[in-house]
Amino acid sequence: MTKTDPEIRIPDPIELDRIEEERLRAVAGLAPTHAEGTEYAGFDTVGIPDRPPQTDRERDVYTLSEGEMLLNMGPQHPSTHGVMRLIVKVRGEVVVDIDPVLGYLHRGIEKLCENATYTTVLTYVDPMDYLSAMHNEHAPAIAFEKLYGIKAPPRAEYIRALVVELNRVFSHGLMMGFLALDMGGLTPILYSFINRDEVVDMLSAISGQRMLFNFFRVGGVNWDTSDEFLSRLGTWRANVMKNIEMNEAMITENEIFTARTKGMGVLTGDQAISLGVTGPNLRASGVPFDVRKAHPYSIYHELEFDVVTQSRGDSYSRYLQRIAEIKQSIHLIDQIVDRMPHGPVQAQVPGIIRPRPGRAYGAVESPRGLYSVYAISDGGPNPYRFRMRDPSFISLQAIPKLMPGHLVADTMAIMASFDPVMGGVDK
Amino acid sequence: MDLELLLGIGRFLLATTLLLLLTVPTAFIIIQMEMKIIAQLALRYGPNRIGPRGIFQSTIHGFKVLAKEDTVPDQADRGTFTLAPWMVYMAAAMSMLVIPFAPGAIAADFSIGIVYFFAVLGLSVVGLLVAGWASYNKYSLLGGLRSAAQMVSYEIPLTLSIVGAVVLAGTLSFSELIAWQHEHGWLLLWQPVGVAIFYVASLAEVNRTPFDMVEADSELVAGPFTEYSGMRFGFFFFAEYVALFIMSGILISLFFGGWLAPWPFPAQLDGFWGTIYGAFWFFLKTYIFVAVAVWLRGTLPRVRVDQLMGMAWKVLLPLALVNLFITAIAVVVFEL
Amino acid sequence: MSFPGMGIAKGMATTFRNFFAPKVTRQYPEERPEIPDRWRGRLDLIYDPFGEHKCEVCFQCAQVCPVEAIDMSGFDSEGNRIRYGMPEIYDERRDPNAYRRAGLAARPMRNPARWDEAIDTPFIDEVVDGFGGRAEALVAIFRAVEDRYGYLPERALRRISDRMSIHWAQVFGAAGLGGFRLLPATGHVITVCDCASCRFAGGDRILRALEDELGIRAGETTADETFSLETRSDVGAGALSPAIRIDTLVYGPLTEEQALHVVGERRNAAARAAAGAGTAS
Repeated sequence: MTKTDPEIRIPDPIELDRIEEERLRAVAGLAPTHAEGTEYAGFDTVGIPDRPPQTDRERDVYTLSEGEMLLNMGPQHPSTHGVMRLIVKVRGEVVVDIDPVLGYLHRGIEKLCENATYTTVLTYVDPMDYLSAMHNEHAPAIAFEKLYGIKAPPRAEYIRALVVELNRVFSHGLMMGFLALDMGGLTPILYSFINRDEVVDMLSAISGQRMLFNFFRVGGVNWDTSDEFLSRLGTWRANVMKNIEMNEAMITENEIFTARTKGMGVLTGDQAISLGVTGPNLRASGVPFDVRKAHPYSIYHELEFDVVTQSRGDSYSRYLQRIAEIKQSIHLIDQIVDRMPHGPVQAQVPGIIRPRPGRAYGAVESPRGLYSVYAISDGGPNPYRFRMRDPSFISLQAIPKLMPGHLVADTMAIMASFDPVMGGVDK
Repeated sequence: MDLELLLGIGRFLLATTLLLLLTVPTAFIIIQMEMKIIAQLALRYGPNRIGPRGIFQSTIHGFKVLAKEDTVPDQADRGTFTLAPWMVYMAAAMSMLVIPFAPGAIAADFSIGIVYFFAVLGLSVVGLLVAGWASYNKYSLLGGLRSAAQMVSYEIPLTLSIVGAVVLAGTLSFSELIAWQHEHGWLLLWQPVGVAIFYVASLAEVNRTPFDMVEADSELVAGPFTEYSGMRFGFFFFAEYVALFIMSGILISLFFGGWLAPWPFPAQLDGFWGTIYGAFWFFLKTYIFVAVAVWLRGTLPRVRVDQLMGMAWKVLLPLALVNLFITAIAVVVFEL
Repeated sequence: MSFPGMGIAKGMATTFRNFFAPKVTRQYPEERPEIPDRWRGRLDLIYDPFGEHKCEVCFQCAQVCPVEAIDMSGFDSEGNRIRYGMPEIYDERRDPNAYRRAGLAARPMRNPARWDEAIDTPFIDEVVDGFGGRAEALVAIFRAVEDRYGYLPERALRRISDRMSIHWAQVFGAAGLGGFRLLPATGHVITVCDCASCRFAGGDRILRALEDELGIRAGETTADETFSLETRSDVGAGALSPAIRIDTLVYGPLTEEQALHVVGERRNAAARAAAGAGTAS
């Protein structure tokens, strides 16, 4: 190796960063260094782009008036339900505006599904909203069955409804825990996980996996129930109400908890409808819309259950709504186990399905709202377009509408009451 | 230089050294208690691999804290950054001088011990403010200001709640107060409202859940301690647990009889064994209250910062004042 | 806004009760979870009841994997080697390239014979049938095959597994654990036993004497590739300590001179055979 010429000066790393940044800015057509004193907020530490705003909303958010400050609740954060970045404009302690920045967990699932056969698509959609994986599979299964023109046998439909309701129970149970955790209570989350563990062990006895189940197939489900599954179901059913009530005792009447959730983040029914919020969040604002009753799918028209609503629409109501729904789901599970018919669990479909060209839409009621799939087929083995509408994504739109006027500390509490899951938001 | 003075100075130095050394195992024990008790509340075991039933976990945590890299932010003011943990720790350690561990085992038995205690405890506010400011970090600053506001506003109900007890006992010295309790029964029975106010305010002073907004880990990372790592953070951490111990110690000294044993047992013995006997009861009662504080931490969510301040000024302060007036009137009327 | 109250008390009563309740943690290495039968979490290839892999090496999984995580190789129906993935992982180019990367001269693949070697199928069938195809005779069958080839070729083991209907994994495991050689050896192999009793009886002295005599260390082969020296711990079976084995014949108990004598005899025999073959050809 030749010795370096002493005349050549190697710049130190901080210099190199600055040189590189100036070169990139020149390529992008921006001024070489950040202009000082512009009226456009330019706090580098928050990571706001210093290009001119591209939409009105962006300009509104990033223009600071007297006494306001931009705060970044960054992607790494103990309680943003996944990776999400919130740019919060505060005046003192009061929130004036919020801009969620999404996309940190984007995995390109919709595009991947365009290159996969219909059966493979059902394995790709599990990790979207990972806490309600069965619902993620149910909606595409409905859409593909419509495309292909078959119906799943009755026993398969009952098994589907059973696992879907089980999934709903533990997902709502987890929301209770997360809500308390975001407020500093350390134990309810562990009680929720005890419940979830039992259910997930049960589901692993029927589907082979604990979290990303890969259980649904076009035309039915993969396996029939096993003895182990049924025995675990019985044990769980005997204990579940005790567990939920134990968790409730820690949270529901706790004065600190109610003081922090009552009256917070009030979402009126009209606001919710206009924003497209669905599921327990909508029903907690008083609108009795449940996909299982409004557009019945699977076997829900044969089962009886109530559509519970709450009247106030604040965080506390959303919490109470989910507890009521847990009870409804348990009632549904009892009915399903009573009425399950015998029969095959999967319709006869070929290995690679090639439906006729057409379009189909399948919607289910997931624990977060209306989860739906719109699939377009062009006659080939892969779907031409596979579009998923995720309820958490829509609920997050509601956050900037509700938050102004509350304190920074309430941000997390209100978000937790909407129970978003970033996997579904980012797909 | 007479012998008396020299012996006094020697005794004092010995006492302060012992106290400083005592803070470390106290912090370790309380941290271990916290890990295990909160775990058991949540139907799990907590650390149970290091040592039999996990009792050495806390010690290993202490070594781990020593082994971490010591980072100082580039633009932080290095001098004050280093000074802040000392200030908080020293406030806690200095206030240990007047705690009545056992008859004859108080490091410095001032006649105005109570006043000294509360005065010195307030110095930790300065330490937290300095920590928040010297870190050159927006979030630390916010956290430091919040914590200063919280601690300052809870000082007032804290001190007012014990004035009733002081008026009843007619003395500001800890040992004399305990002697009064020996004759007249525990001050818990005379001042129940005072006990309640003192307990709530002391939890807020020490930044324990439900009042731990300062270190609200689900919000602004770790408040004023965000930029501290390694042993610097260890100092803050220890200071918090030592302060919890101290507050519990003062609570029981003022209201629960200090080193006196409860009813079926003889309240106080003499001589050397009397000291051991008193120390045993003191530590037992203190750790019971520490366990209650840990239990509260495992159970309750956090109070929001404005609700916290509201509670201090709108609820505890008027209650403390009312308690004080009633006590004063009762003392005059009943010639107590 | 006063906080103490019934709700908090209820919560505290719940946690107090749970403090004394039995805990739900499963202490993992000591208590294992019950894995259901349908558990799909294992990364295994599945065997059929005859002991063969169910995998047919059709490459569908490797082709469809979105992140190209699967490499595989196998034989097609004509016996050709086919592979999917980097050729460097497999055979012929693996070892030479590894040596080249290390800056050494390229040396050929260590045991090409394993993959494509031909074996005498009728001979193996005869051996197996001679023992009546009984599973207890497996070791004796191995002995016979090893006598014939000097080691146990993989193809021979597969034939044995097929013929006796014993799970391939069991056959392979028995061969490995039974102390049979699975790779061909170079030249005559002298194995010095280093089990405990042979060592106490002086086996290490024999080893050193043989090392000096042959001019090589244990694990190496002489320059003219007629003899290799190795140590194993299962040659003498304790009763013949100290023992050595030359090819398949076991000698023991030996003193140093006796060992040198035996090896010397064998060397002369080999030299005469080589000379005889030389003059004959």
